[in-house]
Amino acid sequence: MDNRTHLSTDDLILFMDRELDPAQTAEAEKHLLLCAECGTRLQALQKGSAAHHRYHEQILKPTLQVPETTWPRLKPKPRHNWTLWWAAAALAATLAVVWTYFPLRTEPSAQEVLEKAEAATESPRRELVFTTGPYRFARPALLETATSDARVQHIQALFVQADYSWANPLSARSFAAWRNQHLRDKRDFVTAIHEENGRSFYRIRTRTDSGILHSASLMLEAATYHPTKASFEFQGENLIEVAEQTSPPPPSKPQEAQSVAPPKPVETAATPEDELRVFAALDAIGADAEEPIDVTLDPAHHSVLVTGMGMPPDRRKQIEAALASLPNTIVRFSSSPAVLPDREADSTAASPSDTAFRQKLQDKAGGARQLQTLTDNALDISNALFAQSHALLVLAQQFPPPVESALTPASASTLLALRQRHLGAMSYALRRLQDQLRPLLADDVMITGNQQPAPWQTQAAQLYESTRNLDRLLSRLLAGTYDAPAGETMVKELPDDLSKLDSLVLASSK
Amino acid sequence: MIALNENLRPDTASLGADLEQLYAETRASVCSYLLYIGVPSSQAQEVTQEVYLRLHQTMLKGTQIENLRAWLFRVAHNLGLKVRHRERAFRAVSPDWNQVATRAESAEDSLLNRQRHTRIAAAMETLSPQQRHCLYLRSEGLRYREIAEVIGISSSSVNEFLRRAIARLAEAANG
Repeated sequence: MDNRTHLSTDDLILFMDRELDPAQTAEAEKHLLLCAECGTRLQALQKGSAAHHRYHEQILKPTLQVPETTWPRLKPKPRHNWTLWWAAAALAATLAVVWTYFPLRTEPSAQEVLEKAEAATESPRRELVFTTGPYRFARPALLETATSDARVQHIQALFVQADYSWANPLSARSFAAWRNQHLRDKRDFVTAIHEENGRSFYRIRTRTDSGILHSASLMLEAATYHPTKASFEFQGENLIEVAEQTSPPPPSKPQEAQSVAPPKPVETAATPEDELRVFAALDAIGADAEEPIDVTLDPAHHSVLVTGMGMPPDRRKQIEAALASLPNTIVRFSSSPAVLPDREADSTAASPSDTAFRQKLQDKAGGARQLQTLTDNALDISNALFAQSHALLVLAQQFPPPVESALTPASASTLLALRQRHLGAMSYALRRLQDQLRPLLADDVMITGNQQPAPWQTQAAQLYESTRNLDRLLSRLLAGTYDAPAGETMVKELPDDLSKLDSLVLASSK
Repeated sequence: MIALNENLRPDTASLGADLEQLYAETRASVCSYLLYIGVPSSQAQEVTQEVYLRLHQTMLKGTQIENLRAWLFRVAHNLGLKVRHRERAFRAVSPDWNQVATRAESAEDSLLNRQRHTRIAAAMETLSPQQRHCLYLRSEGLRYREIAEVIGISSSSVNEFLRRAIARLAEAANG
């Protein structure tokens, strides 16, 4: 700062917020006494700040409606039932393939999914595989005879005590029968999962404080409501997973793409602005980054084609409504995901990693359950990161420099806002990921590499690659199969991958 | 009132009373923050209580806390993220404008207030979650380094987020 040049907006805000050190403050004051222009700019910023403060106090906080409460008893509870613990960590461990799944923001309710699943015809299965800790056994899907194995009997006793069908545990009806009991403090979580190969699933998880079964989750094929996996968290027990062994692929309807909304008449060729308007409209309903939606210009550039796959009807309607008024836009949804080559072999191929190395990871995480929690959270966040980087990459591909430079100022501003939104979400997710992984890292992640200045489109491609590499590493390390040396190598690579991604996000945000 | 930048009295008898007073004074801020970052209201109260429980345990261990307010928000932030639904967006604010209007002094003031708030609300919608996050904590009186500590980012990032956010708000307020 000197008196010949104006104060930057940054300095004015720091001055307003009293964040400058005393010497800088004195300098700024001196300049402001002499410079009317900076004084005017400061007043404008103060007006914005004051308006926000009023909004914060008069609108935002009252809207949040803090419940009345009394001073809590200062005794720790034996179990914090509010803790989200995604039992699917071990489920992920059964998958040798990397999944990319995107949480839909408007999932159907557990009741809704279960009702449809109960109404669907349950396909015959040959065998179920049970996995709990190191123990693994198979049994017929529908059990008609008793077992003499003590360990199996123990698991059977748990199911019986929880009033959960032992005869047919991998069944929507069995899940619903348990869930519809008078469970105290029952909480449902429904997640839509989209596998990289195009298959989609619903995962219903119900937690309760009633009885010994604290949490049960059921995975259903989205197209057929066919149950494929279940996991059970009994009090004081290892997670119990149940999956189909080598059953034939569940019946799927042939792939059929149907246009839900009739195409609007196309009057003129679609422009990048049309495309950007679609992105902005999708962004406004939170639909661009984390849902299986593609936005492309058709080869002849006649229209912007928006395609979605395996999405719930309500969400389809919401997207159609958001895009209804946009010109040159065609919306198409596939009613069922693509049927890809059988992946059943993959989904049951995973086996526990090297026991000693696994134990080492558990020790670092603070225990088996903590490692499962860490795994689930880290993979969740990694997926979110990946989704955001993919959305950014799509923007980069759709709006290369020549196209971007031809945009109107308003469109360029919209594009910038979309980019910032994705980068902001990535930065936030990365912090959370580092927090989650801290127990496994020897030191804090330091941002080391200096990224060379490059067009944001180039950086978006680098970000995507880096995010994908990190996601693969995490998936393999936390949910894959490998030997101890490979595990040690991955743990060593992790800080570098995080650091690289961090520095890329930082560089892209500038 | 307990000064938030002073340590609580460490003896067990005084600690309980001090904490109770601190709870009464700061609970609403902590709970609002949890709601804002997306913790369901059914759980925000419980997480809030957990924050003070952790504080109690920390104090009993004799740990010195330099800045209680930042500590409370940081612990709330970390606990809140654990229970928050996956990447749930910041809570959408849908104010009851009629209620807002009745708090104003006159019909004219009411209209002006409403216009002002509408412009700020629209500007807020264009901000990134981080920018809104930093603004929220700034309005709660946290310094930049405290905001950085709560969210787990660098002070320079906080500075950057706030610079862009305040500039945007100033445009809206002066537009």
